[in-house]
Amino acid sequence: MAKPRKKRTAAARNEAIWAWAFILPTIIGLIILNYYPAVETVIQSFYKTGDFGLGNKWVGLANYQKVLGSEEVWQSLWNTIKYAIIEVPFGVCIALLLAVFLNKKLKGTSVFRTIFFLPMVCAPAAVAMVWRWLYNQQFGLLNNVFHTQIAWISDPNLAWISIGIIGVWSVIGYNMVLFISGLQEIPGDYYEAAAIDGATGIKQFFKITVPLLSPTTFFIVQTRLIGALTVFDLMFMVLDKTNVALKKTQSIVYLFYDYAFTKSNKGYGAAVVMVLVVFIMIITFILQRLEKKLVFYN
Amino acid sequence: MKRILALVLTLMMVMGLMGGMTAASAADFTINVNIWDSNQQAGLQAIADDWTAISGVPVKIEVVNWDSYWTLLAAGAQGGKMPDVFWTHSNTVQMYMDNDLLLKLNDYIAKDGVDMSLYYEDIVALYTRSDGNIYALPKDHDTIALLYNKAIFDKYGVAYPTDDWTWEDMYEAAKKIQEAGAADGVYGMAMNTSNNQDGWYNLVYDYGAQVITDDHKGTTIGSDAGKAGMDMVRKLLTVGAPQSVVAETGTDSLFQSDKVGMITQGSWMINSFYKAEHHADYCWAALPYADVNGNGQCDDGERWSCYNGLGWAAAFNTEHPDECASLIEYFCSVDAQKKQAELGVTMAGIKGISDEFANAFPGMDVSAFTKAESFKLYFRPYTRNTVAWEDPIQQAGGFLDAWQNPADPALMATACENAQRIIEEAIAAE
Amino acid sequence: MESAIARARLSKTVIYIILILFSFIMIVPFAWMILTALKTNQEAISVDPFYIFPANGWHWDNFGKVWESYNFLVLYKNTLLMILFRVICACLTATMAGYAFGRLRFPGKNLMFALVLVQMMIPSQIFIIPQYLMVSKLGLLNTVTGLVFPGLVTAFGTYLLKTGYQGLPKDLEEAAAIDGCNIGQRFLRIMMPLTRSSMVSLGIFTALFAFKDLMWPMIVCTRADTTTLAAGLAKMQGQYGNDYPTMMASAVLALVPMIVIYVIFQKQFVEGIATSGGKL
Repeated sequence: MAKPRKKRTAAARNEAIWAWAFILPTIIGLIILNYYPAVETVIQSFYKTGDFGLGNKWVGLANYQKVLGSEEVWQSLWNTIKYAIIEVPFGVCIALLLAVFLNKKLKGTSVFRTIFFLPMVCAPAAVAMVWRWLYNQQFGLLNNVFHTQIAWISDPNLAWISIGIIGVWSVIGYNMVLFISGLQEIPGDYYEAAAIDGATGIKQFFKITVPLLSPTTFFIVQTRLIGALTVFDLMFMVLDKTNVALKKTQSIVYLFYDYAFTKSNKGYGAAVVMVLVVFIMIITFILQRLEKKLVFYN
Repeated sequence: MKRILALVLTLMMVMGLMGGMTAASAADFTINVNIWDSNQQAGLQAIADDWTAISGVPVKIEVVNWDSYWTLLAAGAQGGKMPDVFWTHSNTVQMYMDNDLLLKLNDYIAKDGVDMSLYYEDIVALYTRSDGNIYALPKDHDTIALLYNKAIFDKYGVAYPTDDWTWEDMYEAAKKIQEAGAADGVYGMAMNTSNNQDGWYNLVYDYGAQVITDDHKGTTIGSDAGKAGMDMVRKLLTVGAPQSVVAETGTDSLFQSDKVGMITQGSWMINSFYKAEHHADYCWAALPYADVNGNGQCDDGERWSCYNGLGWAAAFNTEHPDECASLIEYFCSVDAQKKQAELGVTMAGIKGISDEFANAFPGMDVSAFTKAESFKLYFRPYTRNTVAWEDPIQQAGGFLDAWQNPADPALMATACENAQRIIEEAIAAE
Repeated sequence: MESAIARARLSKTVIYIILILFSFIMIVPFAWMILTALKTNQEAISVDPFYIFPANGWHWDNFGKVWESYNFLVLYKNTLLMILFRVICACLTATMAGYAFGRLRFPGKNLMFALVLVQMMIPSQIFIIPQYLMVSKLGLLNTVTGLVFPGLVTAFGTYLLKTGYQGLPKDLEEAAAIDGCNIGQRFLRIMMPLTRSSMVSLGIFTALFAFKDLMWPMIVCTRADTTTLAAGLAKMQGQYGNDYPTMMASAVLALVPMIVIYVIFQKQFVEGIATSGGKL
């Protein structure tokens, strides 16, 4: 009985060696490129950055005290949440609606699909530029068409909605494509059976489609939520430095970039980032809990 | 799949070839120059090419816009890869000098016999460190003037600005234009919080206060004189374009679209207006003054213009210090400075070459800028880390609040006090 | 019976109306971008938005002006190279690691995979400053390698491919083992080719997100001749500020290549993205 055991061990060891060789590049990469930097950032948040990164001074929790007591930081976190509140629900619902429509055997669905997905292949930098012009208070298309003088991106009470709209516009196509793929996995028999039982289209939607689509929906909500919380490009490109709505619209990542790179205060910027990281971890945790309750796996 | 791969590989090869081709035609090395004003690029490249003809070293000038310029230069300084030659500015040069990031030029100046007395003293002083080492050569100086659109004045029947205007006169004219032009969407004037050097700073000084005191350690913007100056700014804003409009569209764009009667601007921007579609309508007048003592004439200290002097500097760790120093000296030599003025790039850092500049724009009278030399001039306000207060006073919590509602004088007074506090705190943290 | 058909037709019409409405909303910004790029500053600011055919014709010279003052060819090249190398690196490392996690057994597997999973949950902004400092210390600022740096390995790709490998039939490996293949040969000859759809998916996903990345290229490649399209656009906006026709022209030039590629290969794009989401 000793012989088979030795064979297994040799084979198992061989497999282990191959496996480790295969995962080594990725694991080393993750450690060097991600885990080490994460630790570095945490450490850096305890320093006050000197001119040009020379002469960094240890200040302990001073950066955090300032960050946690800073109205600006909390406001920007709230701004980011407001943006997510627009981008995620609207992005998901509209995309779901469009996906359901395009899943029916109608003519021209591929043309529609191409059009809806188009914003997704565009660099946010360019998208932001165009919308900035569309929203222009004096000469923008929106105000001209509706004959209004609305300060879409200069009104502190309105700017976050306007930016949220750009976000939704950009992301509908992506969400929709994922929904379509999810919809196609739902066997048609369910619908036939329901139709025989006399269920209407809308009832079918809520009783069959929504539950069976929940894994996809959950995935989309989770990724888009984290994506929305880390938004940067839109605010950076659309809002001018002297825009009066800036404080009520800037995202927390925008604030991070401003402190870490524009103002060269990397220690403070690192502390700001940590606030975001903690917040996202909390959200992820909550989502994982909700997944067990809400998502219906086959 | 195969199709994609083939396409991509072909593209890659083509790109590689192209890259290879351009690399082969370049010389041994190129001096990289960074500036932030695209208006000056063509002229400076012409001057640089003259130097290349003598030295045999090609020069490549690249424009990085103002907002990114300092971020990227600092990033380069930290990472060890700055451009070879670049502009320095009063805002930050002290920090760069203190950290030994600029090439020391003393030896080159002595060896090549550069005559430092030719340049404006204030600018030389700016670029000399406390221990006497010189780190940049004066490149230019600039002044401010009033720009107005003749066609708009004609259309609404308002008399043109004269060189004897007070700010009150400007207010009256702007008011007429604003009221008459309301139906057409035309404004009397336009100014954003970011138009500091070319805009509201000058009113602060005209009324007797200082944005930064002479010792660079304090400010009097919150004083009564400062408040008086900013109140005049407030008055002007009531007959000007709303802040949200200038933030979104910019004073220059608005002016060039014939939507604004007057703006104030600096001599470095002349080219942009000279080349604009309707340049025939654009005229420059002297910057108005503040008749503080009410005697109906312009007394000493009632008319100020901001002036600034950029410097040419080299990175402390450039691989070609000799060539860089030579290039810098060339840029700041009498011949090149004259050419710089003749081409209408900017006014010289060397004293007495103003005439060339005044004649550089046939068809457009820019003498208002050279006339400004006879005003009292104050150097653009700076401290060791200027950006730390310069940006915040333009934003919410600073003057941006007052700009939102020019009709309310109390807002502007509060803003002055806030600005005073912001500046003092920033200086204390330096 | 008839009312059911009529109702079906009505709902079909409503559906089409909604689809067309949204299509319109999707397209209008692009149309507006192109139209503005063909005007002068003056015309762009004229209040009539339907000013499609200006008196002096369309100003194609805006494109020429932007093309000359900003070396777009170089921007295309840099962006293309960055995308290409990120895709290659991602596919290579992820397929190897994905195979190992998905099909092999080895000690420490769970712990290592936990590393992969956790990375996917951390927002990338926490990596950016130290990554930047590393790149600059290595002298890789303003290089394509610097641009590719954060994308050398991918946790997301590893996860995606692991799921892909797990989905393959178990017997394949046993058959190969009987035939005398070692693990490396099994991987290369049999398993990897079967995950083609996941690889394409990963490739497209990586390419798209590399193309859109703004912050990293902006801070790493500060010179105009080394930066990418997205960062170059941001710089141009700073320079041309409020000269909208010029900015729109530069936006058009930045977007056109990717849009053209997308339209040609749209089926692959859409399927690729769908698979990347569906597998997770």
